[in-house]
Amino acid sequence: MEKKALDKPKIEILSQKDRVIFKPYGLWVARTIRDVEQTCDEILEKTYPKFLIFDLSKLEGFDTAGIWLLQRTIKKFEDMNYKVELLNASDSFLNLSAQLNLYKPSFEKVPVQRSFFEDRLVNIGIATKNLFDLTVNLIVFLGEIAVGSFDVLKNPRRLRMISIFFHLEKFGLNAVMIISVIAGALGLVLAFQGEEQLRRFGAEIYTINLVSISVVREVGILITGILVAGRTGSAITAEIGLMKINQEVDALNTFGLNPMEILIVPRILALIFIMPILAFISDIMGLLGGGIMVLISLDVSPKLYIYRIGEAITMGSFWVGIIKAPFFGAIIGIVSCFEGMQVQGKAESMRTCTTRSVVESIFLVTLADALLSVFFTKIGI
Amino acid sequence: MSNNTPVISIRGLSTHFGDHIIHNRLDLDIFKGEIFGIVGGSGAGKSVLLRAILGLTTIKHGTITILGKDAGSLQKIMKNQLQKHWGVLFQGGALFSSLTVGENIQVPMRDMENMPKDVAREMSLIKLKMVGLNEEDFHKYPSELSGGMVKRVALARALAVDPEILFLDEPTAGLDPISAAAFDELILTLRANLNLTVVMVTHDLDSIKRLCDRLAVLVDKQAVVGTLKELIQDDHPWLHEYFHGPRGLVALSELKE
Repeated sequence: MEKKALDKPKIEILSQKDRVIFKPYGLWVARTIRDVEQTCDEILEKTYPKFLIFDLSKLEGFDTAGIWLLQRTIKKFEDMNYKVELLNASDSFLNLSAQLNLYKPSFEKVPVQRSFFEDRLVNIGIATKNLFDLTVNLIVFLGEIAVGSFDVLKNPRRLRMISIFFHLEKFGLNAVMIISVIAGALGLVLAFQGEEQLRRFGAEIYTINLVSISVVREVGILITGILVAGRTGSAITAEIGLMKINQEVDALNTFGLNPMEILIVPRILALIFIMPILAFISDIMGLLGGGIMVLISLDVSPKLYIYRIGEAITMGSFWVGIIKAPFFGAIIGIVSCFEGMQVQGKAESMRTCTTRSVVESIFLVTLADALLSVFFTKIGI
Repeated sequence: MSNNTPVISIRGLSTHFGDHIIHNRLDLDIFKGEIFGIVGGSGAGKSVLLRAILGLTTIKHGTITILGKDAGSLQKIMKNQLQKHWGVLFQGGALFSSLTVGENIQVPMRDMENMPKDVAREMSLIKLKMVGLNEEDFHKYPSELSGGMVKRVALARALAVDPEILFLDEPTAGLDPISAAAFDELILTLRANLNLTVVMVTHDLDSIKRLCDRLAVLVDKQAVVGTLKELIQDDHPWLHEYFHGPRGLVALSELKE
């Protein structure tokens, strides 16, 4: 087999007085198809007497691709009013050739693809329609959550406590490590940069105020929201999306069980409960990270650092940060569950929905943070 | 290659998942031009055997020789060479969801660095028509196809570069009886015209009766090989249950006296 692979396809041309005999040599298969095409194109360029014969006695091997090109060449000759005849064709060649004749490709019948600009235009239309559908779906979904929650409230025994605790562990406990590390690192960086700037005014001791207020009011909770949106939100969307693809959600419905009650409400509740705790941990770690930097570069004692923090942060500042947490939890929970339920049928929609889930939750969390910050500052906390 | 050298020859194959032994010193020969069925109960290791032959799972013991080459010991490049000689139809079709039907069929052709684009396009359309679909489906995406169409496109892709061996993993599973019968006929036509060797994993007794020249039944971690007629006579309890159970009786009624 390997030796044969060297046999390049070629055509020997024998001219007789009123006819020309073409003798194809070598392997006419998909692997050698470029040479086959070249050979065919070469013989097509010249002119011959009216009568052509293809003698296939020297053809060593062929497959559908090779036969197709030979057929195509013969067809072209016939279109040029040559009379073509096959000689010494084997049975399997004739069989396959007859088979191929049944499946002649005609590209006129292939539907025309849209041009680039048409395609863009259609895409804009589709995107607009999708946005509209999404809005309607979101409103329906919010209504369903409300109904589901109301059912659970009316009959608290239907609250899935095991599910809630399971998710508290998954969303909370397992996220503590990554949130601690990142919040700590952010505190460190804030202290380092703040101290650099404040030193110019000889006010480097206020680094402590800068770090503690920004961490407790904004950074701690915001970074928690973004991390949970990326880490937990995407996981929820993927999980629920897979359940939809597996028809698990349909199965629940047929059992008369409400997927809202079983899948969605516990996840959202778990997120609402766990976010304040995660935000608190994030605050502490941010202050700790800032503290390490301050201890190194400002030469204050840990005792003094803690004392200054106590002076800088009022109870109001602390609660301003923590109070945002349940809202963020609700936003992430609702968005990621909603996108999970939007997954339909095939695996491709999983990709779009998971991406959308993360992007939308981070966007909404940041937006909510900005609005709440302005609000709390205006009312003077 | 003459008729009595096996295309695929398996000697002493043992596989296991953890402590669970799936195949124990299994021997098997598949000859050129035959349609060879692999049957067995759920969990008997049909798919594992197929994956082992295809080189998708590494084998611990035993040798698998395909087209005269020891598949287990081949270097990557040689393995790629070997892979050009076979086509695989996966159970779920395994079409690339981001490519159109036409592009899917052209994927194996792209591997042939010499294939000119227009030839690839023409060949892909020929193969598409060969499996009973038509031009209108050329630009469709897999998500727009029905289950039977997915299988057909996957078959067209498996046939794209005229393989010598065609592997089918449950080709008729999930098809309605009419589509399944049409699929059987399609395989027979293709075998007759393309000189294929077909290896198929299946549960479908009707398919087996219509298509398979020989069968391997996986029982007791071994392969019992024979023609359908021979295996019906076999008195192994599982084989007896399989061929003489309520479903077997209907499908094979004409073959028994």
